[in-house]
Amino acid sequence: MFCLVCFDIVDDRSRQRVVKVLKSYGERVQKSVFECPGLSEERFLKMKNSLEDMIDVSEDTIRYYHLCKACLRRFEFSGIGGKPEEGTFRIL
Amino acid sequence: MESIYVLEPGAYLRREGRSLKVVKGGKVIQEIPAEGLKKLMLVGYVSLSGGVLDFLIQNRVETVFITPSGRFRARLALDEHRHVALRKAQYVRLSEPGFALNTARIIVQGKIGNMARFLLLRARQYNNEALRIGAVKLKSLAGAVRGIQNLDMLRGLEGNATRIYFELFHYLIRNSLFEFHGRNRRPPLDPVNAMLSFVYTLLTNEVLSAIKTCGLDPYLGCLHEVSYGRPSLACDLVEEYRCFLGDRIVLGLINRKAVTPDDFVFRKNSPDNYVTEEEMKAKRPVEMKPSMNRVFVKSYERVMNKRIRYGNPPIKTNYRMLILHQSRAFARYLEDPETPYVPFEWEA
Repeated sequence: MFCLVCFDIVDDRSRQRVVKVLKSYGERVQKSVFECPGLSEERFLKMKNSLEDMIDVSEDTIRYYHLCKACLRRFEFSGIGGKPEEGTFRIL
Repeated sequence: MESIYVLEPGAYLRREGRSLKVVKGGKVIQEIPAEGLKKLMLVGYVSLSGGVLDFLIQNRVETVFITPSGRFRARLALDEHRHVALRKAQYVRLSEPGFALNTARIIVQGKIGNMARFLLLRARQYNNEALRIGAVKLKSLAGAVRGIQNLDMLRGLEGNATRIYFELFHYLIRNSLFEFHGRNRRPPLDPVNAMLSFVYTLLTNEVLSAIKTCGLDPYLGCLHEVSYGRPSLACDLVEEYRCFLGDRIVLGLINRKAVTPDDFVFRKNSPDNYVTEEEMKAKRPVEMKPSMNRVFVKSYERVMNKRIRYGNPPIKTNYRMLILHQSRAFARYLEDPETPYVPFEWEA
């Protein structure tokens, strides 16, 4: 499944840690927004658990939106950027 | 990301946490999330840092090195699979001549059956009598497999069927820019053959990975003779996919006009025979351009991830997993011949 992750984290150090974890699951499309394509249920839970350990639950927030194929097809944007990467493979 | 292909010549991979950075000329050109990585294909001149190697080993990522023209170079050998009993069963069973012959028969029958079904389908679509006749010929050859009493004759029959198939192959090409006058390899002499060789390499690697995942020894098969360094079991088990995966990918690219002859580099006056493997690599008569390589790999991946239903009762899966399921079925058959191995029957 495709998951959109947005966060607001006060402390710089824990923010860096969170970013490092998210980078291993998906692509940073905005300062505090990541797109994680092709996550399995298992991998999503692993990601969520490791993120929860890093944040201060009294003042930080992370939100996860699961998007289906149909939603992704209706994606639009203004300004810079491109379409979300969907596949489970990457060619360089 | 489940599989990553690096085709960028001179790229250098670095690790950062659990993501990979691709560096070229001192600049980071891309960052790829590497969580859940299963397969890494490195094409041509690419290098890795120690950290990346560490990551690949820790996570048991299937790492394959191939040349830009798609020939296999090397793979990262992680330690042997722990399933000794299975490999032992494989050596014992495939050493019995009767069992080996029977297994080879099953494989050849599966292959010819798929070719026949494919030709028949196209014959209907294009309303082409020659293809229909070819399909009937192949069907009868598939039927004749059962009566064959030794391996050499079986290999002859398989060669025969393949020849019939490739004699008709030009009817399947619906793009006037490409011509096909028969299959040739080592080296391929024209674009269509170059593409076929490339896709067969990718498929054979796919099967090789699946075989290693189940714990079988890829170097001992039955239809292909054992020779030093040839993964003969992978060559055996790839036969059933060649036609409906490999050939269809190539034909799809050609017929949908995704490729043109401009995507290839031609070398004039390459020698007719080659002294060494090295010389053959250096003086290939035809080669894909890098941009074409990318298009090719993309459509290959798209097909491999295509959703299909498989088995009885049917489960939802994709072609890549299908190859793994089939290898597991083959392993079960080696351990207990009462459970027959059935090559995948492709239906459009």
